[in-house]
Amino acid sequence: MSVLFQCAACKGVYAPVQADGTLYFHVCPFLVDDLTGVHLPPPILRDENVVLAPNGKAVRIRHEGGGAVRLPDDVADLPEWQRRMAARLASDD
Amino acid sequence: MGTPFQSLTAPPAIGYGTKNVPPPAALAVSTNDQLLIRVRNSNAAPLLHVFARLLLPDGTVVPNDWAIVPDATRAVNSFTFPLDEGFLLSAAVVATAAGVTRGQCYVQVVLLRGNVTQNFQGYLLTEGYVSNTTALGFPGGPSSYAFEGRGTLRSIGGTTPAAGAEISETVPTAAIWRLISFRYTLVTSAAVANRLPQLLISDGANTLAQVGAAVSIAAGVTTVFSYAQGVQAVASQNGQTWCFLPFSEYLSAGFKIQTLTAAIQAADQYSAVQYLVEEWIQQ
Repeated sequence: MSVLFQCAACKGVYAPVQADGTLYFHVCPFLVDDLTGVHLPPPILRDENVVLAPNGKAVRIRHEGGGAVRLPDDVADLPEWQRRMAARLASDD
Repeated sequence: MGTPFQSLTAPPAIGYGTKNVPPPAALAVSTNDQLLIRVRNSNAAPLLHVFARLLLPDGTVVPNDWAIVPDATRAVNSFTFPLDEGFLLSAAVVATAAGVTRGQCYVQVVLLRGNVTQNFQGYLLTEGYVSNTTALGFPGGPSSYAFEGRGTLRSIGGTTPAAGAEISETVPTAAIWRLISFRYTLVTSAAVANRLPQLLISDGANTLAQVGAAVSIAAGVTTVFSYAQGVQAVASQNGQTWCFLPFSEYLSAGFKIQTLTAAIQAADQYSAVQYLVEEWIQQ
């Protein structure tokens, strides 16, 4: 089963390694102000995308934010929607 | 009876040697030169092999085989290999790990003078994608830009946001996406309101497209939204709602795909975010 992480800033849950082994770089959602589409950054932003130096080499992740925690592999105690997500990821494996 | 065939090709004016012919000098290398392999890759475990044949001054042809493993961040990974004095006859890069597809692993093969920091690139031998079924080679191999031809197909499971929050997916660093389909589930809470979900595509700051679903969602309902190219918007049937996507929506690094839900309630829950993209390495 893919390992799930929870972002400490936005509380989003994601799999940093996808079912095909490729990496997923979580970014906290911007807060949408209204229907005109005005976007505001959240107070603590986590952006796992890598920053590239001018020569193209990876330097660091863009914003650490509040960090992320690994969710327990035993998902019995998770809310229903997280259990469904875990089951779907497991079926993808 | 006609005139017998006669060749009208003019005879050559230049004579060529046929014995003790020196090899072509363009790829004469010395101990000051190195073979530089520059890789940008998104595959999780792309074991690559670099093969090179070198003709030494004593006439022997030496084969070389170097194994390299770049990281999966799409950042530049540089690998250098020293060369003896002689003539570089051929070079090839092959992905030997299974599952490396076109669009994931972009390789440049360069004859380098000095070191990577000095970056004196004497000769770009070839560049293009490698996969576990296609190699990159010199001489004779095709050279292609990274954003050329078909990319790799990725089925991505996105972030499940917290209750009451919107979905937001970001094109990663050094990638280009063509968005093909986008699917998610919305479970509305018992709070009475008519939610109006939309999908919003932006460059990170400015909205480029805003596609509304042809339905409003009441309280206590589970609805699956599927956005795809070429479909007609269909209101909810058995909990399934179809919505259209703009054709050939190419998205650069930092661009975002988000939901925007009018009248979203604090306990509404988006989940099961899954989308299909065609991906290239950004050049």
